[in-house]
Amino acid sequence: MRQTQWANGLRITAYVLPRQHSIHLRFTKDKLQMFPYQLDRIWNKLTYSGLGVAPITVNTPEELISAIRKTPGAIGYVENTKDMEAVNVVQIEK
Amino acid sequence: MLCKLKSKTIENLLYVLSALLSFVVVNIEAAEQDLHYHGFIAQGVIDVNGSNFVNDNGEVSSKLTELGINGSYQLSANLRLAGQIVYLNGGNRFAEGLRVDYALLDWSVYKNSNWQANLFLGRFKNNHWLYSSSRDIPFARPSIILPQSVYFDGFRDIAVGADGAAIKISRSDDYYGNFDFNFSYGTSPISDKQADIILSTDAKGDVKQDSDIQISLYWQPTFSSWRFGVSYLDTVFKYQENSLGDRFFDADFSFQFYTVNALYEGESWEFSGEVFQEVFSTEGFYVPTFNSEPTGQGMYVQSRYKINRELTLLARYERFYSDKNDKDGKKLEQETNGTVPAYFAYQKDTTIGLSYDFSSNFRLRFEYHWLQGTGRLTPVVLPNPEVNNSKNWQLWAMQLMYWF
Repeated sequence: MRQTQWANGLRITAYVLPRQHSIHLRFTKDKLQMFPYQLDRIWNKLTYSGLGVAPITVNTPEELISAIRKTPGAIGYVENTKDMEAVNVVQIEK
Repeated sequence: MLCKLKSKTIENLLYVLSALLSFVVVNIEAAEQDLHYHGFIAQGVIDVNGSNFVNDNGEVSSKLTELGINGSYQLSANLRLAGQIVYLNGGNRFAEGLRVDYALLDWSVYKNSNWQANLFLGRFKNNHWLYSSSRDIPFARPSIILPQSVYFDGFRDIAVGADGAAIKISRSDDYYGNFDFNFSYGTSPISDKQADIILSTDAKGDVKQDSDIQISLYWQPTFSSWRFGVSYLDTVFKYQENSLGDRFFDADFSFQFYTVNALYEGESWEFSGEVFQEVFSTEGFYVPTFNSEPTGQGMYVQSRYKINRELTLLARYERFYSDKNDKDGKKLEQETNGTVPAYFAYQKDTTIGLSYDFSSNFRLRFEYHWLQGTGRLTPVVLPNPEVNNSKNWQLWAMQLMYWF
């Protein structure tokens, strides 16, 4: 969660969906084992207090994939893995 | 001389940072992952009955405006520039106007898979208390009016941050959990309006902050919903009387503030609280031989309950005593020959509220406060019992906020 760069030194750019988006709510709770409002608190502090940079919010899953494709070192989450050319998909098992 | 030079250097640094920031904000062609900009806008109405917390006439006020715009630009792998400009209007609560909230250079000094150390130079926010860094961010704080015991609006401009240097060291692993250590050293410029708020308009001299040192440590055990923190603040002020005529005299003020806090974040329930003790020492000011060093105390406990993804309820109780040996204020009233009523020695607040999210970044908030005592009203040093002639007072506020 607190990692800011990959092993090769490339900066990690995280993309997320809006905080009320159902995929974001599910990913936060099921995979990160956190409640969405906890992420809001941490990210708001980074963004509006000058302490750091929070993930970039995009509006739709399609925008999220397109942003990851264009950005070296970027990560994000999707629900289904159709049309995933030029990105690496890591399946997270329950 | 050294002090003057230091404050000039910091002022120049702020100008350079502001100029650089405005450059990066307009340079929208820059790569998206290097440049980030965000902002917020909030407007509300507030009605206070029985005190001059917001205005002197007691009417419903729209002086509940908060606007902000910020930018962050990654200069290199380890260097980042960040700044935020805010406009605030809270009536009597703090000075109205535009201000540079923060403007800093963030140097990522060291990082590996467990450790991260950052050095911040310039104007930085106070990151030591539970809500100190987000006190001006309407949607990032728990209520419209924060617990005045800790987040006293009269001290806002001094407590909100400082010009100087700050260090943040974080360590996290799966065995001990997450640790965050913060240290900061700096000073805050004190505007004439801020001086009026603390000392009253009768103080015609100059007040300056000599130094402000703060330390805090936070710990979140592994996979725990709890987070615990402690903090310490030590600051010194000097008042220089106006040689052309002043009701007050040269003075040295010092202030030490210790806090302990806890935060629990469950799925529906959230609990938080802070307890503090402060020592406020005054030498001079009223008369050259005056000397006092009261120990103040305060605390609040707060709970939020998330009914569903849109609606959150709030309940909070807080207490503040300006002198732990005079909690009912009888000594204060006696020593001032009855001119300052006993209820100026404390302030208690019971709050309920709710917030409703229309979308991911659009929220409406409402809250009601029942207060007893006027110990957290301004001016601090010279209370105003003529306007604040009631021990019990109430306020309600409603605020609409949007952020991006």
